[in-house]
Amino acid sequence: MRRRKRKKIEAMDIICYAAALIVVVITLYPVLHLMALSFSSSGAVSKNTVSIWPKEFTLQAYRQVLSTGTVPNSFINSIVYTAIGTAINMLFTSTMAYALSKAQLPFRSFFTKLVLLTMYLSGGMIPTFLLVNALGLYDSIWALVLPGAVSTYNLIVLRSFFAAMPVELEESARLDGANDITVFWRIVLPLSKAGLATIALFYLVGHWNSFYSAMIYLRSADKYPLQLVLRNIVIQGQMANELAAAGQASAAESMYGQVSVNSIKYATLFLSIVPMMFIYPFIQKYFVKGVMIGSLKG
Amino acid sequence: MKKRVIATVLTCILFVSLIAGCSNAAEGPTSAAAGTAPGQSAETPGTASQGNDAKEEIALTIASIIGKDIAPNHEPVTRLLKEKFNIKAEWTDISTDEQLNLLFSTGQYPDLIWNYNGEGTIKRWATQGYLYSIDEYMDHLPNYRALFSDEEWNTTHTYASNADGKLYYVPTKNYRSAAEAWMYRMNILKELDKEIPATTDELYDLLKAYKEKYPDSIPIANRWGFSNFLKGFALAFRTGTSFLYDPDSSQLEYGPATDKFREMLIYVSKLYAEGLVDPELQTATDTQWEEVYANGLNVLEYSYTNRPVWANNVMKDADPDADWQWTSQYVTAYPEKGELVPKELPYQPWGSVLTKAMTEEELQRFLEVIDWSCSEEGQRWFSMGEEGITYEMADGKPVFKDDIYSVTNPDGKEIAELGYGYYLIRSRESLEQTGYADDLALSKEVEGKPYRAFVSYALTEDQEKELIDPET
Repeated sequence: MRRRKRKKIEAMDIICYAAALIVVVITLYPVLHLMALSFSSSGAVSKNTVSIWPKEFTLQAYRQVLSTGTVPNSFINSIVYTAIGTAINMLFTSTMAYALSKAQLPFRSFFTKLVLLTMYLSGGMIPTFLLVNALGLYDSIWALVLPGAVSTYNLIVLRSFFAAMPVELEESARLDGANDITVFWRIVLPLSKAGLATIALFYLVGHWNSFYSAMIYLRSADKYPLQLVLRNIVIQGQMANELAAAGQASAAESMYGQVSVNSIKYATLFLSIVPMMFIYPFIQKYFVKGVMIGSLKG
Repeated sequence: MKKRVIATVLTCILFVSLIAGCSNAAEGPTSAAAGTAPGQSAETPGTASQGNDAKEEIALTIASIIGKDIAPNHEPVTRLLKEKFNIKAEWTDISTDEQLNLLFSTGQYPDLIWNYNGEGTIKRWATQGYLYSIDEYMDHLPNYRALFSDEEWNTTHTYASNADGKLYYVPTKNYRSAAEAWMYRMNILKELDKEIPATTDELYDLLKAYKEKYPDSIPIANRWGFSNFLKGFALAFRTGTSFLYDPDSSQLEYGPATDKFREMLIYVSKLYAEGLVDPELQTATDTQWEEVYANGLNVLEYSYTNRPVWANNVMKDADPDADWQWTSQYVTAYPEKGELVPKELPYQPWGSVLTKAMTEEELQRFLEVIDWSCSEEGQRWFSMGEEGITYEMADGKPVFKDDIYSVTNPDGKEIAELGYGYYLIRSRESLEQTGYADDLALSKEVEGKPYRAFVSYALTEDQEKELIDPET
């Protein structure tokens, strides 16, 4: 009977694992600390005695956050904007990337250069605002979703991915009578799950974390996404500091004087990262596969 | 071949539509089909003036700044404006200055900003020609003007107006003359057998005694940086952190350039060197400052009169006997000269901003709103809400209902959550119920005592830039 050979542990292995462990701790500690703060009593939070485990466990902060209506409403807004935004992103990016990956597309070189130009040049904040306004998109979800419908970087990556697919697959489908749309939908897309999932994840996280567009283009607070509401909660203390530093302590006291309940702030923060934490494990395998998409293949 | 033809035709359509879109953009967004852009009334500007009927409905776009109230409720004010003034309000919620600056830069600014805190920014907008000056319309605001005495109005106007001498916003009336005082943890003073300090030497002795008994303590907590920390001490040393009318020399002086200011800095640095103040007083965040209280580390602070109630609550775990109280006795470094008390300006630097997006008629209509809000009825409406909804009458006085926040009901809903909240003046009857009685009490106790006189001056923009250098 052949004995299984024990793998020799080398010094490099130890170094690699130690480095990975350090990165894990650095990444995980803030999340655990945040979670612990959100489930601790406000007294324990004020005294700064909470580490990675809740002290005087309570759901009071979550009850307050979820009962106001503002945070749950903004949570739903974020989900809607992210879902619709990602769907539109993927629709336009994948179709455009597929078209640009075909050598027989008329004026392909011109379109590619036009798209690349947008990576380096943009109208700027004011012209873009005027354009969005003139198109009647102000104060609507479309102002958040349409201007950034296609990310040039993601488009280029996906185009390279599609270009690397064997032409023979498509030709055999066409021999069977498939048209362009059928080939795209039934042959190309199913084989591109890795690439599509990766790009979708980029868009998804981008939409979920975005607040700047919402801040500029939304005029009604009930349409605010979660990140903007979170920003307003978190930044109150900073704004008070700035007012007080500018010699307007009475203004700071009047507008922000009531000391914020930190545990509510932490509960809201934690709620904002929970969806990403849930979604990521399901698409991680695609992300790992797709991390090298667009790279040169042998 | 067929596919190539179709592709080429589609490409041509793409280019033609691109060129057509650019052509339309070059004409500018003047078409009514563009819809209602922010900063434009829903009615075309001529509507209100066409019939010359003041009661004709007008629409105003109103910017509301989101502060503590993350989800503003506009319903009551919208209803009030419609029912009483026939104004249709379209609200724009603003959470950052970038939003507001963008609206002004693109010409899409609202008709008015309901309540904006940013006097410097307002003055800049005025210089750029965006705002109406209210000086020309003061005869439309008798109730508002009546909130100020002549002296108070002169001081307000001098401070709040631009370099051209005109006032470009409607400042809020300050309901108090003083709000900041030294507050002490009285149970500790009893424990150390100390009296409330009257001089800086006595203050030092108290801090030293406390530190000796509790070596790990931070005797003085501080919020909002070094300049805030110096406020109480600047008063004690009869100086200031900017221009002031020196109470001793009776001259206009720049505080940081005086000997008294140096003496103050020597005193404060001694406190710092001996560990009697928070070592992170310049950079401490709100959380760190709160932590000092929660752990029962400090014994005094120069702060607002409503702070002791909060401090007692936060400190109850660390010190169940904590008895924070404010006092109207101000520390002085020169006992022979006596104490100086703080005095606030008669106005608060926030209020309504009226932009030139409004027509003259719309402006006149909104001035009616401003003036009514300063009447007794208006003050009650904004500060206390509506009878039956937020308050009931008891012995002829309005009293907040049981589910509304007051000092006797701290778990109640704030009226700001319901869409009310003071506007331009806090009504007297609301002050006592909402925890501002201490401000009034302090204002009364310091009345008639010597204070630092106001220096009424208005710098030009170049002078303001010049001021930055010596302060740096």
